[in-house]
Amino acid sequence: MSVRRDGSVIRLEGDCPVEEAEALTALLEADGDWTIDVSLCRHLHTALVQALLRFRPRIVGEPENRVLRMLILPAIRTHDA
Amino acid sequence: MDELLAQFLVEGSELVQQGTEALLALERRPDDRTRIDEAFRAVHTLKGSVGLFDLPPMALALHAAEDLLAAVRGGARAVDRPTIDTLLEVLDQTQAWLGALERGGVLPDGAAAASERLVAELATAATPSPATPSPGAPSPVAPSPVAPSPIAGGAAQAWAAALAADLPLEARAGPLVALRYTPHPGCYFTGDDPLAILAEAPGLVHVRLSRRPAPAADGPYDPFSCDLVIEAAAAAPLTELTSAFRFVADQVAFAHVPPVGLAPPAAPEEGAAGRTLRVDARRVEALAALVDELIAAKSGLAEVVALARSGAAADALAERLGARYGALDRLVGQAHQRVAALRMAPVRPLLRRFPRVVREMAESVGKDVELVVEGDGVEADRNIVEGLFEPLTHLLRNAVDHGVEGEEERRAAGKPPRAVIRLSASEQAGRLHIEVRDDGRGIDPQAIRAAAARRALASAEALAEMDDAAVVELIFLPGFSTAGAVTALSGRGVGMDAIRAAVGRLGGRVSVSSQPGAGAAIHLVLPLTVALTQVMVVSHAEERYGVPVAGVLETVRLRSDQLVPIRAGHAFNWRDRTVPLLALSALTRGAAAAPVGGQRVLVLRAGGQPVGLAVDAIEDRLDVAMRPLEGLLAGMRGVAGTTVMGDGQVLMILDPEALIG
Repeated sequence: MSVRRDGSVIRLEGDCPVEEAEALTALLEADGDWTIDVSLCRHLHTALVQALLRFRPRIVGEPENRVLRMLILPAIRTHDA
Repeated sequence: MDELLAQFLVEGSELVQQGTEALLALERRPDDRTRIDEAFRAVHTLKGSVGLFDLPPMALALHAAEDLLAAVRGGARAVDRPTIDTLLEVLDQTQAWLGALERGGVLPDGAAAASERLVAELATAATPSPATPSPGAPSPVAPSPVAPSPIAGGAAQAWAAALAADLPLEARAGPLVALRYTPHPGCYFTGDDPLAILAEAPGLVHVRLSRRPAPAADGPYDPFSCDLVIEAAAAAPLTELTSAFRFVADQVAFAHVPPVGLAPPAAPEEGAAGRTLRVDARRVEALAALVDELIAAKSGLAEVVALARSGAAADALAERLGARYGALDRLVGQAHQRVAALRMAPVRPLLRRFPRVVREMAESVGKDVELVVEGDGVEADRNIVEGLFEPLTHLLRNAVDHGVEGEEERRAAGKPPRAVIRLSASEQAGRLHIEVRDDGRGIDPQAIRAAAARRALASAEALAEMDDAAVVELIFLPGFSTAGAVTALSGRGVGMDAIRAAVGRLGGRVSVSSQPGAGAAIHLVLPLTVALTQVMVVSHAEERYGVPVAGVLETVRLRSDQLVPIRAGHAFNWRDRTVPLLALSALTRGAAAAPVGGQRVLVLRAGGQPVGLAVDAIEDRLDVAMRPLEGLLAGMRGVAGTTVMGDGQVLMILDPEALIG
């Protein structure tokens, strides 16, 4: 499973395809102080990135995918609308 | 360059600026006749001037824009957002073409295609379509049906300028291509993964993500409706980038980002080739009059020479020479002052670049923001004016992103829905004051306290003792404003320490004031002129200091056998003299570190005598804007002032005379 809840941590692991956006959104919409762990994430579909921008949870982890680590995650973190 | 063309380039930029300002004002008050006339006049004059040269693409686009404005003027059409967007695009393109003409004397390849596209867009804008988006809605990426030139609007695109301002300086050493990708809302259903497409683009150096404002803000969040705007900068040829986006070409716009130093081409002063200074004609006339006086003074000297040749008495000669010297001295002093005045530049053109940038910023975050610019007649050194573009861009971005609220929050707080940011420049007591004031939510001191405590920037006791005004100033601390803190805070702080450092490099200071609920203001105070001091940066015992080069006679490396112990101290031989040797740390901290030889030594003049100052290393030689000591440090003996280094550290500049004497 690529979106996995572990207490107050949501782990995004492996390939996270577009379908997972719904599961992730459902979790993020529920009350809670969520931390997203992307350490084991290989690919994150745009729809999930968009959900992270929308709900702005704390994001931790340094995934191996260079574009994700160096460009996309910093862009999510500095997004401040 | 042809004189006529040179003049057109200067006037052309001015007209583009006037037209742009009129259009932006029209957007706010669509029925303002004066503004309609202004916009029409600017475009009409531009078109007329272009006719003097053989530039058909430029003439065609401007002609079409003039027709459209004539229709608006005649009441045949209303001024709506798409019309303004298209007209602004024509002016952007005109400015880009003016830049190309200045650099190479010809329009770039693809100018004809770009012109055709603009003419087509103007024709579309001129036939009111039923599906005209309401003002405030995001402007869709212009589809480019017929053989489009991939670069729309050139480097003058304001979103590209705003993106470029976000880039770290080191990323901007070479030319970049900026791109803005606005995926269709339904793209997830058609199997697109926009960021995966982006990831395939070569040479990516920076990505910026934002969300389009939702048409119905209160509806539930739809995870499968794409509302992203993806902006990125890449160090790769345009052809490779267009190829990477070939399947979504209608959703992507590109723009060139010139390397730093040539930055946004909006200001006429910043032409890349053969920098032209625009100087008030009266100043040149005053200089010419001064030169006439200098010539007269020179003739006066010839008379003294003749007297000397004829064997006049020494005291009579001395008297004449003294009088002539006095006259020359006065004239040379005036010449110096007036030439210095030529270096002064009006602040206004810098400020005028921002309404456009703020419009784009506000649009990208779905807010309604008006930028009011004030500061006519204020002048400052060109270096200062030019150095302010980046820090002001960041400050305005902060104000748009964090300072002002969205429309609904504003209504709820009983404020007018449109936020106002005021960017003003004034001269007060010989200093340049610049203020960015918003009428937003202000800065919440409690949030700053919490963030400062979390980041251990100050102890709990220290925080408890600070009043709110002092707490708000904490946003300038390095480490306060990392991205994580900003999101958690929903306060300001994007690189406020960087802004302070940038302003510090220009010899200025930054302060902040805030009234929670009513807005915040960032205040910059800068010198009007820059007095640069050349300093050597030396280090000793892990401390760095600056020493003014003017006081350094020579730098030497001492071997230990050149050291001569003298009573409790040391000396060395320099040019057949015995010169006392002091260690820098002994002076600054009173530590009695004995010089051991093998060191670098600055030979300084102190009290009319040479003195050696032993340091571990001479790191650098810099031109810095030195700031006098203030506050608690004001009485500190031996320190002439401070400056802020490129890395944000404060460097103390020593006054060797006071330190040693």
